Amino acid sequence: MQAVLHRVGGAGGPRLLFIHGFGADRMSWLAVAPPLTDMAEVYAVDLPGHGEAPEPVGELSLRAMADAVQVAVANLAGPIWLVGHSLGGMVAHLLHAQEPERFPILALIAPAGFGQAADAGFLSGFAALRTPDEARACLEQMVAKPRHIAPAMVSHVLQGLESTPGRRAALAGIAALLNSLPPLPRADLPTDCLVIWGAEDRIAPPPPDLQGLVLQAVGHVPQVEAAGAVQRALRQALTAAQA
Amino acid sequence: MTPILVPQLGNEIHEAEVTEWLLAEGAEVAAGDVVVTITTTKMAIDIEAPVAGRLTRIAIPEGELAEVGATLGEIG
Repeated sequence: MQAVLHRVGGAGGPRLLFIHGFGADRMSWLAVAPPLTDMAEVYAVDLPGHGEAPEPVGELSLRAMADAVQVAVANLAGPIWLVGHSLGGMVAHLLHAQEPERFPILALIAPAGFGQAADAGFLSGFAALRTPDEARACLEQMVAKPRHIAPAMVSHVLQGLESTPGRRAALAGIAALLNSLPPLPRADLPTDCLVIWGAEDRIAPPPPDLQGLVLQAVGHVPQVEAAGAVQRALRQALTAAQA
Repeated sequence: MTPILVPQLGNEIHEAEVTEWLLAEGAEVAAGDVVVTITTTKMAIDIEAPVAGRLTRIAIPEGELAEVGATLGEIG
């Protein structure tokens, strides 16, 4: 299966790779990633079955998704600092576990699956969204304040679901995979990187003892709901990582 | 005067619509306050005040398109 790499911009500085969550695509980083091109060479992937990446083929697993990302960045010299959201956080974790020096983790944002599973209904319902009202209602589960689900986002999600004949089936398959996985041990959540979580995350609630940046009045997508705070935290982490 | 700019939006998006000014001209702002929301074809983005001060000018009103780097307004 194939992931598609996009160059966001920037020249010089450390390499940064953003990995989106389930049902999203590279554009979910729009409010956070492009401004960082003033200090990093910034890339974002579309995971298999998302954005411009083709539907997954072969055995569906998180390992296979991580392998697809690995292939997509094969021509980039390391280290490649990873920022992963939700499902993308799990993919980042796998990449780091396999090649820690090539794939240091800069930040995990609401990384799903550590200690407890993500909301099964959200995952399984996503692929079946048909109307703007249905999509809006589903997406509003992700945020603390409904105003963060703009009509543009609703349209983008529905267009994505219609983008290829196999897209809905692919996302349903990925949702079924995620719902079938036992949660990773809570202890596997890395402690040596920035962890950002919304205090009101209903999709993958933050662990109660989390040591990290917990943003109040923010749900499952801090990079949309609190883009300024996330961007500042990433800048700080990147500066610290380079020191 | 410190301009409030349309931020970088990557190499695929070059403009956004000014959706909502959350403050009127003359209002006091703190650094980091959301002052205006812009909307691309993919999502809405909150733009924060880069500095504290007074919103002295709204340069691009609601409903108009703004290019990356354009001055949305000014804080004095």
